[in-house]
Amino acid sequence: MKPCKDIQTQLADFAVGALAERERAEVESHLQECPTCQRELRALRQAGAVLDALEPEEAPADLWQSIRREIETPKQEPAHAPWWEVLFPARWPRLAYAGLAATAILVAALLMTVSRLSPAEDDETQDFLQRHGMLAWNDPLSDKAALGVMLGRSEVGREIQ
Amino acid sequence: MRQNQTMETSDPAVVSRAREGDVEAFGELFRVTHRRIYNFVLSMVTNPEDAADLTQKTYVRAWSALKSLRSDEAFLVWLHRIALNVVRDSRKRIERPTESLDASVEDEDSTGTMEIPDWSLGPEQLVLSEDTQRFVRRAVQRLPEIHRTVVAMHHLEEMEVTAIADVLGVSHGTVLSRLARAREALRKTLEPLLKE
Repeated sequence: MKPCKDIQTQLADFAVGALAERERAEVESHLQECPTCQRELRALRQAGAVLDALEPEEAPADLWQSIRREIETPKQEPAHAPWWEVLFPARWPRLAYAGLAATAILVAALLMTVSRLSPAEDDETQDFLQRHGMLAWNDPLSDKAALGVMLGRSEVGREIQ
Repeated sequence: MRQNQTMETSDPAVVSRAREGDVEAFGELFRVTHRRIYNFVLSMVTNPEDAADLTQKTYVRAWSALKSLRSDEAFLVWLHRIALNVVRDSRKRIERPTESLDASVEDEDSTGTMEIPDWSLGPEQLVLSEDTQRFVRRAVQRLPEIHRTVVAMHHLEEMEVTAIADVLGVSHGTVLSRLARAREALRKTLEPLLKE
């Protein structure tokens, strides 16, 4: 037979019907011969009976009136909020704004660094456009005025001049 | 003696009328369910004012979500789930300090004036005096929330274990296990009321 110590850890589960078949049989067999565990089980069942006898709490008497008022009041469309409140809702915590500002500064710094580090790519593009413009000079439909302005500003144009 | 608290079933015809926008029908559903929902919410928030406020929010939310209630779904289980979400949402908004669970029940409620229940009447006829009710309620409030909730649903609302599992989204065995742990804790606290 299992010792009382082991059985008593299972008694609450036994009382609520949570034990599996085999465990339940073990507890039942122990209970038949152990008055101590029988008393413990009785106490657990009495605790359950006390809970069953507990009266539910009463909700406030005017609760339905409040609910009815709320569900029958037509919901008002939210007033058009100014753009700064849409972008920066007041309910956001201050930390979120601080994070947003820090991210913006970081992104700006990154963009500036990148633009300084890669001027060659920009020059290359300009150079390509200028050379393409020169090639189009003889095209009868080309915009001579625009090409002139562009070439006038460019290195290639200065070389021609 | 406990008032009539048998398993109220919400009439599907009344639910259907409420779904069509009939406020009176919704009022009827409120009448048969509000006590359970209020006690369920109270088991989670413990403060009666907060419980009333959150119960109101539950029914307002239920009213606007009635169309989403499936015809085969139990209204009461659905309503409990809404209540659970309303309580969870309220906690996301306001972080309230939780009541200490360490204080003993005897600190606030003396057992000196309590009447010991008359066990000769049998569990069905057990009557608890006002003081005893208060003592037991305090003892329940000291339980961890997951245990309080199942105790409220099972013992106060007389909900079936399957329905409780459905509301909480846990297994049948988990509900039984929580009930057993709650029973163990209360057996110690309620010692003065129990018969040898």
